[in-house]
Amino acid sequence: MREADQTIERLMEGLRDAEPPAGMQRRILEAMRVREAASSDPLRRRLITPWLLRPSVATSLACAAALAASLIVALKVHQPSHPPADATSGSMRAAAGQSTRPETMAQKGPIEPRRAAARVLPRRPRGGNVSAADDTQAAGYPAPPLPLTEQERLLLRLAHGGDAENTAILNPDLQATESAKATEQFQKFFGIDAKEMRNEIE
Amino acid sequence: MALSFMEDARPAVDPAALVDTYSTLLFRIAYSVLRSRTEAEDVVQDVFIRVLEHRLSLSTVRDMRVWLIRIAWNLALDRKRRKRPEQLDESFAKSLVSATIPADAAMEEAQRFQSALREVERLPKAERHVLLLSALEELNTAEIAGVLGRSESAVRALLSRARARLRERVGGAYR
Repeated sequence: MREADQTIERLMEGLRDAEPPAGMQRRILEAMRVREAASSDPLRRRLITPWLLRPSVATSLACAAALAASLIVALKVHQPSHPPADATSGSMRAAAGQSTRPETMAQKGPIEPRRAAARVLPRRPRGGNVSAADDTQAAGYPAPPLPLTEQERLLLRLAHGGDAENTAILNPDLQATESAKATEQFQKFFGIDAKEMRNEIE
Repeated sequence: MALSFMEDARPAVDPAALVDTYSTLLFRIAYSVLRSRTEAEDVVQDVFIRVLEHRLSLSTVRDMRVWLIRIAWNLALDRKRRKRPEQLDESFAKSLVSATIPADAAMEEAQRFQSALREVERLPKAERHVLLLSALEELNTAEIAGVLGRSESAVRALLSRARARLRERVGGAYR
């Protein structure tokens, strides 16, 4: 029984000795001031009510504000780190292409025809009503480099091969000179005059 | 502390002076019911908002102290109906435990206080109310009777029964 008495006495002491939180009087007076001001202005009375100043309500509001702020920050941080659908497919194609070097690509059997669409920018909606956001997004995700085309690979091979005849193909003037020289040699070898050739044909 | 907006009521009662005089007592009244400092402060604030609303009729109040205690008491009871007692009692019980004892003993003691608080809540309403108001010691029997709307002898009888019943129930837990 003595233990029970002690427990009860401690409980009663705990209730009796409770001290009000610091600044309680100031908060109450402030709430009263707000109430007084609100009662003199009907609009304000509806908008600002003293219950907003209550500690429990104020704590809840502060928590809600903090939660909203963290949500906004989280949304900003975790914005889609990958590009939009069109750009994504383009980059995936590019990644697939980049994994193979141009030289090895050329050695592989028949080369796929060039996919013209691969170099085209992400498709825009019809009607010309393109939003500014789309433009921003397109600029934010530039199309990655695509695999070389057949012609580009051929050019590379020619340029790096070191073959003078092949390199000459790239220069139209050189090519014309070479062609004229070859014709002249041909005619000289067979001793055929151009005029005679034409007469024979006729 | 003087407030300009309260000057209208100054000839009768100054609400700012009432805050200064009674806020601590009203806080303890509310705390005895709610066992939460935040909730108790809300109640005290509500009391003085009501005072402000009725400031023109304050001069007609016969016993300001009892009148304020009764408002705080009723507001606290009203607020408690919306709260689960266990929710409030857990932190209060922990606050009663001595900080110097080991953790396991502290937990055991907190549970004992919590179970005692449950027994307080299980008391008949009239007995519980008298017990809680008498715990404050700042209120005499006449004031408790005034707050609860009962006679002084009824308050004394209820208090006696409440203590006996509580002692028996809490003691039963130790056996």
